[in-house]
Amino acid sequence: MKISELSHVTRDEIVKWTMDLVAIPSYKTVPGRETACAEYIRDVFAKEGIDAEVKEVVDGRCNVYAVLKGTGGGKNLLLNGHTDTVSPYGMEHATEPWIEDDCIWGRGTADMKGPLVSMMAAVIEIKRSGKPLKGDVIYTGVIDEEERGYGIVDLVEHGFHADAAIVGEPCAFEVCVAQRGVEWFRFDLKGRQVHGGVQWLGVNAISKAIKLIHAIETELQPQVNARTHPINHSSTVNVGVIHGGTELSTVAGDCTVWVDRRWQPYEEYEQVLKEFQDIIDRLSAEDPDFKCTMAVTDESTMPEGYIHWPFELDADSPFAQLVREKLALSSGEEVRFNGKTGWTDAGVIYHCMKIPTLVTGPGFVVEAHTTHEHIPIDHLMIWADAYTRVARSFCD
Amino acid sequence: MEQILEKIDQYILADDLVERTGALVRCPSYDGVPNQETEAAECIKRMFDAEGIPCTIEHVVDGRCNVYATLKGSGGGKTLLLTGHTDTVSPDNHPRGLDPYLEDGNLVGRGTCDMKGALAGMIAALIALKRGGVALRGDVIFAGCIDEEMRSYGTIAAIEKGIRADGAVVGEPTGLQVHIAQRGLEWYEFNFQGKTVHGGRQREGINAILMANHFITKVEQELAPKVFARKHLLLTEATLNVGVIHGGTGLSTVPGACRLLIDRRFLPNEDYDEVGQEFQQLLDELAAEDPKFRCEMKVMDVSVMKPGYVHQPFETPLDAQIVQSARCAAKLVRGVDEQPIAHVAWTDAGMFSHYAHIPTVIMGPGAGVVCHSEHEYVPVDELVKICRQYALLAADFCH
Repeated sequence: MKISELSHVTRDEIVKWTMDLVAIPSYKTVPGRETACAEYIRDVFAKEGIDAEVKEVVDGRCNVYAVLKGTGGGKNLLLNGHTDTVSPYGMEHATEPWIEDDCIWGRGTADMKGPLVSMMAAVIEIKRSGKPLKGDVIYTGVIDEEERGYGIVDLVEHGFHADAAIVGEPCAFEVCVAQRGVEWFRFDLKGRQVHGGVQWLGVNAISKAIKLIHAIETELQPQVNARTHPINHSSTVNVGVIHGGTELSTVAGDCTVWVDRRWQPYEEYEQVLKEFQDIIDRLSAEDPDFKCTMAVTDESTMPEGYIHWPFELDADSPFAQLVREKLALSSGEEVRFNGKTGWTDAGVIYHCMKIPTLVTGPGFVVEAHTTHEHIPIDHLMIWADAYTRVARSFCD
Repeated sequence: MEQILEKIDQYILADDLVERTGALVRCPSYDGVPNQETEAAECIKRMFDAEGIPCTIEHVVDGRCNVYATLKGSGGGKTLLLTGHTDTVSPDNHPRGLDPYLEDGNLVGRGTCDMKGALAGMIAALIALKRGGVALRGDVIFAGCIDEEMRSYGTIAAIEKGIRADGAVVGEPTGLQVHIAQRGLEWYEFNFQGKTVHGGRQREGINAILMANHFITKVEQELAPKVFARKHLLLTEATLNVGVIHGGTGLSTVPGACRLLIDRRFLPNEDYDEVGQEFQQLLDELAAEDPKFRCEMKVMDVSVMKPGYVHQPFETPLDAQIVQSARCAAKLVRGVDEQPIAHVAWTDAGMFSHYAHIPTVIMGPGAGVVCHSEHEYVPVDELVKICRQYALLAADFCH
């Protein structure tokens, strides 16, 4: 580890901010959910004399926006992360963070309150150093990434002018320059429910679901899996959940199948939809009793006009090269380009703001959502340093 | 037979049957009641004791008791078993379920139709035969058995204690008609096991829903046509129903488990072990094709009876004496001679027929559709009629 840029923010401060934020819960059932975290971040910035505001997005839930104004004439860098976390899911002391093995433990340490602190530390480092940049550094902590994406939508509609963006999701020690798009579908199969004693009068919805799944598995899946990418995993279709029938002596009147679909940046969303619809249409044409409606699941429906877009940035582009170089300097590690396995808000930033966007942040993504979520303190320092270096270079 | 009716009819009264049925309904006997059916058994014993008809209560399991009564014949005649179950399903969904009332000529309450009305009819029939001084050579045995709604422990106990009869009547609701066959039933559970993988690395997982899909496809294409081709004059056909499927935890996760429930109704000429084997064979074939295919098949817990017993079908020949006597009694009481038919649901008749080798019919008051419902009832006139049918049947069969 080689941290040289970070000379005005201490390790103790970074540890404190992270632990403070983890101690403010922001999972689903918390009233106002992310707002207390947003206010905490705003207050830290305000104390440093950095312009920061808390802005309500929906139902009392607030994004936090801070801007370190440049002197003018430089490029603007957007640093983004999300302030919501998933539920403790059985993690004990999930919001009473503790330090063990030089790591901070608790819900959101890696996904992604730790990364939010690294980004915040970089902005404060630049401010305290007294060496202003030409361009602006825009810091955004957005709500609702784990669900419908209200926060990121507000961000891209807010009117910030940025020339490049980093989303700080945990992915040590990688710079992720691509991700697949994702959509979650539900297929509702309608049959005709009757008592098993008069089976011939019924239509078994489970039997119809079987046809649909069979077609997805034998026709669609081979095509989808063949869509590879230089750094992303190949496209996938996952039949994840099925629920059908009420009791076993009754002909099932309803069956629902939930499917996860990941697609490459070169695939069209409309085509993704059409591939499923074509199967439904064909099965309906073959079988008048095949009745199936397809919908995006409620939980994953983003505000009108937004979807979980993929993104892709040329690894040879100046911004990608710059970030990798600076992270390598800060960490002393070999930093490689990769595709992000999970979906992040980078897809929306890239698609809507049309700027070079990538993902890199401290912590390990495999810890996210687990009962042993934690983040190495060294990581927090390394990325704080790397973000500082990137900003100094990019915005000047 | 008309002479018998003259002797007994004065003792078969609607008020008496309503009172006896009501008394039994007011003895709760659903799952969760301490000693469940024993209070009802004691209530029945008091009715027989009052008439001087020998009656015993016998412990079966966990404080739960069967009740038996015998109207002794003079000897040399056939023995008849009149039987029904003393348990009911829960009254939770039934307003005033344990507080029966009359409405539009019906007695309403939990168990009126399934099947305390029939029990009252049987009890009153024995009493009327005794009071009327009807001379029988054979014995008439009454057996009130526990646990039909769950595992038929009561009927198994009656069979294992060696109950003997030349014919049996199970009083499940048939709307007074004579039913002489039913299909066997088994409930199978299939647990498919894959490998759960979270998030974006789905290709590393093994999808249990797809396994279930392969199996169901095979069941529908290969097994179902064979099963439905098995016809029966009374029972129409064997069936299978893929009734319930649940698999997966989240739609981004490769499902590591999927559970499938199948209802299978089989004919008297099908072999129970083969019925299971037909499913197992499909599983074996899939496992041979795909080394990752893993599925455990078993009989559902709720369908498991005592070892050695399953939900057997039955079929009693038209020319069996019990069928002829039942038909004759029904004709005399109802004024129409109806062709015996099959029973749609499974009943303990399969147990007496298959395991005790007693020619059995099903005949009782009320309609099967109201059983377990939130408005269970039995028509009072059917209570009267069934009591007359049971008494006449006994007089004919045991004379």
